[in-house]
Amino acid sequence: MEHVVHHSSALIPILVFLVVYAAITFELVNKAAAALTGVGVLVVLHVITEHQAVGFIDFETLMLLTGMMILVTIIKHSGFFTIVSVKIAEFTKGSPVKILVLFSVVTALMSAFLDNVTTVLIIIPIIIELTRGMGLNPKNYVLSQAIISNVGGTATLIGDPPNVIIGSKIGLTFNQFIINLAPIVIIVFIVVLGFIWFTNRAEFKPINTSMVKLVSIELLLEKIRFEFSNVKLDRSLMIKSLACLILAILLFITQTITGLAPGVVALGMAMVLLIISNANVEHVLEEVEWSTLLFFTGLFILVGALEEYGMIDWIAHNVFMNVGDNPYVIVLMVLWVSGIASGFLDNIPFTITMIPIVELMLESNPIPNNILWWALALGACFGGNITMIGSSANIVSVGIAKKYGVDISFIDFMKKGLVITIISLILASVYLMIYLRLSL
Amino acid sequence: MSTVDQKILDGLFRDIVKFRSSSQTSLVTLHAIIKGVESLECDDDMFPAQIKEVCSIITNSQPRMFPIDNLIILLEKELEKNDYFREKGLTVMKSATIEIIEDLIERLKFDLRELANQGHEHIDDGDFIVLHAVEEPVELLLPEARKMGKEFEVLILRQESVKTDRVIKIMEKNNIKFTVIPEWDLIHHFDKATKLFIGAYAITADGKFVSDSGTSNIVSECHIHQLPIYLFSPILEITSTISDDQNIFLKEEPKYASGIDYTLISHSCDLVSLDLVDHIITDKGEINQSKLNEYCID
Repeated sequence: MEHVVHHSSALIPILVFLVVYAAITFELVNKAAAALTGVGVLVVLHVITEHQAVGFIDFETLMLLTGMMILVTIIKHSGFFTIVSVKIAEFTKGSPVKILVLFSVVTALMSAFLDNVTTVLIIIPIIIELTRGMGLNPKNYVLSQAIISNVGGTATLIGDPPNVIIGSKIGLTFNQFIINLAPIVIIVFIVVLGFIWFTNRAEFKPINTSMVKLVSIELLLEKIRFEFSNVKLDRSLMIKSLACLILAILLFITQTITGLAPGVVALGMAMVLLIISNANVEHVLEEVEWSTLLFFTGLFILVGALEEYGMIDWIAHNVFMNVGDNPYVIVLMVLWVSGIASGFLDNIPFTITMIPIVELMLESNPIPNNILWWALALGACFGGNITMIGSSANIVSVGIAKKYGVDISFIDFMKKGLVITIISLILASVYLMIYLRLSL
Repeated sequence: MSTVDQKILDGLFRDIVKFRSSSQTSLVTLHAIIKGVESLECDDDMFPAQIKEVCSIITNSQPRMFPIDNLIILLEKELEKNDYFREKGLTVMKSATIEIIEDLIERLKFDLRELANQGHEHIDDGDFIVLHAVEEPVELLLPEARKMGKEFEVLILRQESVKTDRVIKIMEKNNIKFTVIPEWDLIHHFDKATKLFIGAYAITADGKFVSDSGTSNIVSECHIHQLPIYLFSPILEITSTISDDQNIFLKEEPKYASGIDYTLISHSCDLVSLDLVDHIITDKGEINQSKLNEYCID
């Protein structure tokens, strides 16, 4: 069967989509502005109507993101994250290996259950202070936390934007994500940590053989305690906000029983917290990343327009489905294409574009147990580690590091990121192949 | 001795004294040494060398920091007297060293309590006291005086935000009424101010004292306007060394403004003549400048 683009006017949405994609990739303009301008062009040229545009928006994803952003903002205001970071710094006692391992565990967990941009915003400054204060090179530690935040975020529905999009659009539950992705994420986390330690093992020598270093670390912890504990702690707010977060996670887990979609849960708990915490709503809303939410909105509409004009169908059949009907090849192709593309392109628009393509691929080749979706999620999330522009967490980490006088170049990032991504994708390939073998 | 280790410790000292007095920084350092001794893993014969290295780094810090400098001299004297307990094995060496340091901590704490007791007498109801940095009067004296029920107010001169924020926090925590003004605005407050309280990093043998950056300007201005100046300092901050030997750190920072690149040069602390000070209050009471050398440790 031959698949063709339905209308000659499909040229306009294709062109608009490519221009927007280029503007996003090369950071020519703000991402949200680029996406929404593209939408504006399509509406003005009557390629789509405003009603169609609204229909393309996936409100479930937007609700989930908005809800989580509000929850995280209020938890941040309570001082909880700062306390956790300072306590970990104290617990490491300046041991380079402990700094790497403990901060990585916290980064991975925070990235899995909150969002990885917030995680690196909190972790990177303290890890730079700690390592630089000990005369260590902070660069490797910054890189490791950025990379680990992407790995950790892969484990859950709410951990990374590609997962939020896949989960919301396809209707996969929190439990399905954690059951299917957490095992491979844990393996990748351990292997990546081992790799970082092995390639920099000279830097991870113990310090308890030097009295001067031991004294320095105690003084450094005193300084860090002062600098980072200077934030005002609000215990009541901390208890309320953590209770709401835990309740939200419990409701995610029990989604199949309650029937409540993750977006409803996240936004619902955020509203409850806003009310019971007496938080200044205006201040909280100022910290919500409206630009990201508008970016998502614009992309949903742009991809919706491509779908409407048959472009997605065409790409699916002429690019992705040309590899034949071997399920192993299809799974590996989705995984690796997603991985490599996400390293160089923003993984959010990539995932939004890939969802209808994968849906079409599943129509002709039904692969069991959602394995193709897991391949997309693993590829899009792990692939973000290839370059410093591969994920928002990388961009933010490199930005904070620069502010603290630690310069990380594109090549610096890629030298580590590329190898780690290849290792992650190989492990993911093995995992998916075994999973597929057992499912067929 | 590693230059890197020296630089790291110097930087930490300079950072910590922005939010703690030199006396409190010394206590923190002594506790850090204890933790260092406890965690150290080395051969028995290496222990004395490790302790000596730490002592050397602390006494060579930029800037030199008292009372820790004098306390380290006392520690070394005590260790040398016992030949570092060499014959007795690492465990005994460690515990004996910790015991000496704990005694030094107790001594410093006692001296600071005495300094607070001596200081109360110089605070009167209705005083409007000028302050600018986290020094002994801020951390120690004023909170104690407030607890004793003395009614006074303070005028905080705003300088580096880290310092000023900390001073404000301490005042607020201790229910001391305060007014904050920029340092350059002091000229408008001499009709109300009654005293200037300051602390020091060191009192040197050549009649000067080393103190927090910005002290010199304030002391000079207060001296010109005949505002009584009180310097509060434990005896352990008096050194037999002169002002030129205080290793004052010179910092050069590249800066950029209005399209021009320039270098900002600043010193880690000020050097002020004791002649400008009206009262030197120590844990042994008010002392005369001419008798300072009687109190030197070495």
